Amino acid sequence: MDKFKNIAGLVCIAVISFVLSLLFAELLIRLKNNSMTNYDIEMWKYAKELKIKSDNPLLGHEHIPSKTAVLQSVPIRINEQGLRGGPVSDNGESKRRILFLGGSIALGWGVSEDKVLTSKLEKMMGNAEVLNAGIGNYNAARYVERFLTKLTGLNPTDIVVLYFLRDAERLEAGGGNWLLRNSQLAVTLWTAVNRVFKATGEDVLEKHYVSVYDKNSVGFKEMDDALKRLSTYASKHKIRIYLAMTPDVHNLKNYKFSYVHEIMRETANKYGYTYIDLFPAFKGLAPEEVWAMPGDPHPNALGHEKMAGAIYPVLSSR
Amino acid sequence: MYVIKDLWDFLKHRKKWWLLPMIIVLLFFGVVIVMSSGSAIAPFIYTIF
Repeated sequence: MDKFKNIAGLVCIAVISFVLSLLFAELLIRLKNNSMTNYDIEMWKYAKELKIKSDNPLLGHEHIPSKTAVLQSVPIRINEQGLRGGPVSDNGESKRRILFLGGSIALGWGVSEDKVLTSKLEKMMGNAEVLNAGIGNYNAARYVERFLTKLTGLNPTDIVVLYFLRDAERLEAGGGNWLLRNSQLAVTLWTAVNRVFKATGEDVLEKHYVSVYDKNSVGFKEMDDALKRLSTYASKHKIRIYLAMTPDVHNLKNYKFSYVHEIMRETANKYGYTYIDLFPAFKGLAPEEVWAMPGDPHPNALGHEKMAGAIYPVLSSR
Repeated sequence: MYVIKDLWDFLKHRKKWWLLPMIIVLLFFGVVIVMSSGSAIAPFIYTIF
């Protein structure tokens, strides 16, 4: 009986010690991540602080209206309509209103609001209101669905689809489990497992996009259908539409995805979008010049300046 | 190796076995932090959404 008690006591102490050490590790990792330089953790905070599960399963998630958070050392404020930036003006119908649709690049992840391409274009245009409907982890199917179901009331005169290579990927609804939603330790472990067990490298990225842009893949068909739906709506409501093709900024000197740009040029032409290729604006730049921060391949302020510079002549000529 | 041996002797002689899970967990997560840092050229991944 005493032996059993001893063993039970030891097990109890081991469990308590194990739980305490996990709590201590969680505390340490949170202290380490206070610097806001861990891309995966900042994206995790973005999901926790500014995103909410959508009532529309096709969207997966949406921005929480009227909320602000500091992510990757940059304040991101979300307005009443779930757009990045301040309130939408009341007199939108009397002047030109340009709406940008896209994912985290359109949102301006890692870039302060005044330096995001939408703010820059608004200053450059002078007489137009430029709205930013970018949401992280959105593909073409999602941002078109969101526009058609939630944002048509904005009555834009122009819609710019800031298209990125991954916008034809199929996305899962997401949501994570309780542990991933609440523990930075769990997120770190999850990231490490993904890094170790999933193949990485330029070759992997190339193969990934080859499969995404297979014209028979489900994601490609969904993207094509979404752009077609947006085109039909725009044509009916006399809205000018543009497709600005954003390059992947991992390797701009020996760029491997020109074929995707060609596919998207054809798609844009097929559905009546004015096609704007942003690759020439980035050509020859080193990744460290345009990355938001080391480990985060989103365009930084310079990247947004380059994109705004390439889009402005097309918008101002209409 | 000497550090590990010394640590083992310390736990054994002082019978501080309750420290063992803490040491294992902290070592494990030290390795995990190293493995998860830096950037990998790979498609974007999102933990939640």
